Amino acid sequence: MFAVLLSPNPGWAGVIGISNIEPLAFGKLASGSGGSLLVGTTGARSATGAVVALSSTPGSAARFEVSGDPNQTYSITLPANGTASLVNASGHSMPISDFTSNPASTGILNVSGRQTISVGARLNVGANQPPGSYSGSFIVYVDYN
Amino acid sequence: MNPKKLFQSRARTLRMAATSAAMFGLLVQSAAVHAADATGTASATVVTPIAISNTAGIEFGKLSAGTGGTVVMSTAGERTKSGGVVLLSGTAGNAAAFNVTGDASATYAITLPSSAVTITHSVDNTKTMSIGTFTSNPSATGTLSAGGAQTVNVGATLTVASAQTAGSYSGNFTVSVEYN
Repeated sequence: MFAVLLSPNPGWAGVIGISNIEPLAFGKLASGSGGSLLVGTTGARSATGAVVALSSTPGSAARFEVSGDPNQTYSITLPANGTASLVNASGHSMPISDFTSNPASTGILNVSGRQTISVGARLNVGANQPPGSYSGSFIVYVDYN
Repeated sequence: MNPKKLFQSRARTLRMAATSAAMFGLLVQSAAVHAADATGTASATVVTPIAISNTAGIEFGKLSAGTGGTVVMSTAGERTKSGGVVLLSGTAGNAAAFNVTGDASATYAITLPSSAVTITHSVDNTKTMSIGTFTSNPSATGTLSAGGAQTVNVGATLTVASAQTAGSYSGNFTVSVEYN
């Protein structure tokens, strides 16, 4: 009786999980009079305004691994604008906006119950942004549909 | 065994099984509705702005115009001439030098004047010559050292008219650099 209840029950779902396996790297940039630097989900960079992306240090998209039930669809929630930024040791910051992901908004776990999500975003750079190393973090949520 | 008692016992057993199954289902459901989140790290490096300063101008040295021609100053500072121009050996001239500074080991683009630049006689500003065909070493793309610096030498070609008015001529040209 117990076994009969278990197998067909749609509530018998594995817990969905997500882990960050690659950071989001904007690489090196020169600020000039300011602008933005976009890292796409493929890791390709494009600069707007006076910002220059230095070819000597390329960027890369973040990657997350999602695990759960095989073939299940799930929703992806990325950080809203105004919730993430990079900060340097002196407290200077650069907001991160326009997060994008691939897959976008809805993912499908494979037959092994896994999928990798790539995440890109836009870094907003001020005029004469103080040189140095900037770092920060952001949160990606997933949930079964 | 009393038949009535047996029936009661079975009913109690069934009831217990149903209760445990319901509780189990509830536990699974509560685990499954939990969303998951992960914190990703992000980073960027803002580099020191690239800068360029002129440390030496192009000097074509002394020359005699004769029937006119050209004087080429190479990026290595070597003069060559064409036409009726005569180069005076006393003042050999030199290439221009620029000091570029910025992020260690970065590459950058060098932009030279795309059209000719005019130099003007120091006394009579109606007398001019033109300088064009600018060249640089490194050409087009430079690479800063581990210390974040590099010297760019610039040469060009001076065009001298026949019987060009004697005197001293000078002018300016602009070289720009940008990270790439």
